[in-house]
This record gives sequence, C-alpha cells and structure tokens, in this order.
Amino acid sequence: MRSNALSYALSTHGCSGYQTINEGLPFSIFEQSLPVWQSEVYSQILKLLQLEENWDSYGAKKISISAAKAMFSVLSNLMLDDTPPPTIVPTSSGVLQAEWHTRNIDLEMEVISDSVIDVYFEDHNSQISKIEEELRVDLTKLGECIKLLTSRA
Amino acid sequence: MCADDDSILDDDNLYRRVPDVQIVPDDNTGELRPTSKAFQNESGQKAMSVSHALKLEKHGGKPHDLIRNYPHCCLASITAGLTRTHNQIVYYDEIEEDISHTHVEGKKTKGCRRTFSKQAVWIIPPNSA
Repeated sequence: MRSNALSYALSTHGCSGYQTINEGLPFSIFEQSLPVWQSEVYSQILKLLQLEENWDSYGAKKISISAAKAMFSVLSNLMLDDTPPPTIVPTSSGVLQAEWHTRNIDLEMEVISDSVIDVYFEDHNSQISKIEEELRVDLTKLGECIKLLTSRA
Repeated sequence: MCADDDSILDDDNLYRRVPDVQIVPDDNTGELRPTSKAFQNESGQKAMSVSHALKLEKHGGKPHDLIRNYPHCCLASITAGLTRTHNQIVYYDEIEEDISHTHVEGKKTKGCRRTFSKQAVWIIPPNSA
C-alpha cells in the first residue's frame, strides 16, 4: 500500500513521470511499509521535476531525471529507515541537494553524480568534526554523519 | 574580470530573489531561510546577480518591483561588505529590466554560500510575496 505522500504525488503529477523516475531504482515504489523518508523524498522530487527552465529567475537549468535518480541512489545507500527526511532543493545547474537542519546538526549534500557528492556537515554538539569537501566514491564519512543524525533524539 | 566598485559601500544592501523551492526550514533556529544554493553564481558564469537597494530606490523602484514578474519568489538581502569578506568583488551591471542590477563576482565556496544564507535578511519573506 502506498503512503499518503506517495499517493498525493501520483495524483498531483501523474504516473508517467513517476514511472520514468522509478526505472532502475534500487527499490520498488510499491513495496509495503516504505520508510517515511522515501515517500517524502519522492514527493519532493516529483514536484521539482516539474520546474521549467529559468525557475529561479536567473537562468537556472531544468532538473534532469538523471539528477533525480542519482539523488535516490545515494540516499538509498546511506539512509536508515528512521532517518528524518531531508528537504530537497534544486540547484541552478540542474542537480539536487538534500539538506537537514535539525537535532543541532546542519548537513547539506549536493549530489553531482552517483559517486561525486559535495558535502557540508556541522554538528553544533561537536561529536563529529566539521566536514566541507567533495566526496568521491567513498561515502563512509557521509554515512557516519547520517547515522549520528538518525540516532540523535 | 571587472574591478570592485568602491562606490558601493560595505553597508549597502544587495537584494537577491529566492524561489520558494529554495527556502528551507531550519529546525535549529526555528526559521525559514534561503538554502545556501540560492547564493550561487549563475550556471556557467563567474558572478551572481543581485540588485543594489539604494540604486533601485534612487530610481523610484521598490523591492516588490523585483519580484513582480516572478510570483514564486521572495526577496532576501545581504550586504556588500559580507560578500567582500568572502573574496567577492561587487560592481554595477545595469540591464534593461533592472537598472539596479549588480554582480557579485568570485568563487563561492560552500562555506561562503552558507554564510550568505545564514546572514540573509528577508525583505519580502515567504507567505507575503
């Protein structure tokens, strides 16, 4: 059974775009008991895929399907079932950034491709040192950040 | 590369349109603010477009004029001095649709963009545009 957020996304944006996005993803949208973050991220990205060229009024590019897939792929590898859902924002270059500003943590990850991620992490409780770097292939550091974000009440 | 225009004072406000899809909730502060990605150079360019508040006002313009044709945008402001502390140069770049159009030129690191995002003040905040 789909979550409410997912049903809303489907009814708002139609199935065709949704099916296109879902191709090749590491999980099925029709799986039962989707983690909250998955359905929320789907819903947000579907909305962002509707943006027209120049959506920021300064000449921003349209968000590509490949950018959406890359974001899903990276999140699926890193997120735990109970990780709070991020806010997904579009960038002027046509890719996506996931952001969390909660639990005394600021985490931003711009997914440039499946294996290149620009990360900013700051823990205001100083359990993990500040990170500001482009990660390639090895996402261990980012995984640690997400674990901390998930575990902190 | 253009030169920094020192007739633009450090305290001068620079307005930047922020589309609603680039506004994020910050639970750590309890506020809505622009994402750091709202303060990025235009795609493939070396500079970010802003509008110089005093020049706009001097020519009879109002902040709302800047978003009149962009119903999904709010308006945020940062100071020229803040951008200069992050190695940016600021200069007028008048265009047909905005006499106060100004460029903030320079590499914008993630830390730099985050500072702009955190220091930005709403001129036309979300839900009031």
